[in-house]
Amino acid sequence: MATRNARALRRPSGGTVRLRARGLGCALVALITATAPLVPAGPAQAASPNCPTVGDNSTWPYEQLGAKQAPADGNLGAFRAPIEVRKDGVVCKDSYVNLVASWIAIEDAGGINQIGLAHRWSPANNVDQYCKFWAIGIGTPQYYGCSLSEPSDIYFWVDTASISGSLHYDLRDCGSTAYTTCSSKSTQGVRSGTMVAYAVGESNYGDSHCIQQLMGSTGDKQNVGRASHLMEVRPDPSSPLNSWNVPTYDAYRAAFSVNRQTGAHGGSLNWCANYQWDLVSTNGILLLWDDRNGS
Amino acid sequence: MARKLVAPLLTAVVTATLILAALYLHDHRTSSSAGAVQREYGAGAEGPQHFVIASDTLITFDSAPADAKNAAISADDAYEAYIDQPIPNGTTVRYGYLTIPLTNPDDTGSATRYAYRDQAVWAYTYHECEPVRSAPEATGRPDPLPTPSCKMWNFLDAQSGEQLVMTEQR
Repeated sequence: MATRNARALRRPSGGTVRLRARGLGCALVALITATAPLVPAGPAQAASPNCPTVGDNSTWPYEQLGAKQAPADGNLGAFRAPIEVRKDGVVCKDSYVNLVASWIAIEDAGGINQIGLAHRWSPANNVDQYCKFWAIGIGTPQYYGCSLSEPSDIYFWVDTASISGSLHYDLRDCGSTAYTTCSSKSTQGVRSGTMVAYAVGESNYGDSHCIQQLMGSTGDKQNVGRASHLMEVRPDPSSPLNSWNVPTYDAYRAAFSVNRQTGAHGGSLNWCANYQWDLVSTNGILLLWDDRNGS
Repeated sequence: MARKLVAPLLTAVVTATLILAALYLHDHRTSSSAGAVQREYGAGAEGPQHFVIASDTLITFDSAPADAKNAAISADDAYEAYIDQPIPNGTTVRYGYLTIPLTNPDDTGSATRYAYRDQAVWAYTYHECEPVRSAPEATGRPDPLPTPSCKMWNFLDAQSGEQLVMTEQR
C-alpha cells in the first residue's frame, strides 16, 4: 500500500498542489511508519491474490485430482495415509471462504466420509489459515486445529466401527504418531452401497479456481503417503486389522462449474494446467504440487 | 515571511492527513467486519440459549452467560492465542457448553459416544460464507442447492484455548 501511495504522490495531477521534495519525504516516512503493523509476521509465504470477479464460488464449483480405488466387490474396510503439511500455495481473497485442500475419503451411497488438511482464506479475520478438517454427507467442512506448522505429517485414517449392530465410518486423526494414538472425529457416517476410496487435492473457486495454487511446490511436492507408510486399504470390515495392502490406484481428475458445465460431472474445460500430480512407489504415494510454485 | 511558513504548514497538514488515513485503514482492514464485538456473557447478558449449529453432524451449543466467570482464559486472550490478532469487529462472543456426538443418538440411543460433551468453550460467531463443496463423482448439484448461512461458529476451549471445531451453521 505504501508503494501504491508513493506512486500516486509522485504523479500529482495537473492543477493540484505540488509538494516539495522535503515535505514529500517526511510524509512518506510517516506513512510507512504508520502502516508498518499491517505487514503480517511469520514465515515468508507467497501473498494470496485477490479473487477475480468472475468466480462462482457459491454454486458448487471445484477441481479435484489424485487417486481412487474402486474395489471390484464394492467393499472397503478402511483407508489411511499420512498427509504432509505444506504452505507453499495461495488461495484467493474475497468475501467468501476460499480453499485448497488435500484429503482422503471413502465415498458411498450416503455421501463422503472425509478427513484431511485445508488451506483456507478467512475473510472475517483477513488471514490465511492451515487447518485440519473432516466432513460427512455433502462435505461441509468441520475445521479444527487451525495452527498447523511444517514440516509435519498428519496421519489420517477412515476406518470402520461397529456401533449398535451397524457398521459406521470412523474418521480418525492420528496426529504425527503413525496410527498409534488416534482420536475419532466422527462415526456418524453409516456404510451403505458401493464404496470408493479417494486421495485428492482440491481447489474451490469456480471457473477461476486456477488462480489458487495447490499446497506443494515443484521442488518439494506434497506427499500423501510416505515410503514408510504408503496409502493403504483394508479390503473389508471383517478382514483382520493387520491385513493392509496397497492396491493399484487409478488416476482421478474432475472439475465442475455451472458456468462451464458440459455434463453431469464437468470436464477438462475446467482443468487447471498448473495443477500437477503423480502416483509413485507402485502407486502407494500421491504427490501434489503447483508448477507455478518454484520454492 | 508568510511564504516561508506556508510550506512547513502544508507539509504538516499533509503528513497528519496521511497518518490519519493509514490509521483508519489499519483499523478497518477487515472489510467484511461490521460493528463492534458483541459480548453476550457476564452481568446483564440474556439468559441461556440452545443453538443447533449443524443439523447433519448434530453439533450443539448451550450458552451460559453467567458461567463465564469460570473460564480459565479470557475470550480475548484465547482468541489472540488462536490467531495472533484481536477478535474481529462484527463478532458475537458467548460462553457456554459445546456438544459434538461421535454417533447419532437416533442410531445408538444410550450408547451414544461424544467427541465433546458439555465442553466449556468460548464461542465466536461472525459472518463468513463457506463454498458449497462437492463429493467426488457427484452426479450433479443437489436439488435444492444448499443455501449457505454465512454464520461461522468458532469454538475455543475455555480452559486451554485449543480450537475444538469451526463450522458454518446449517
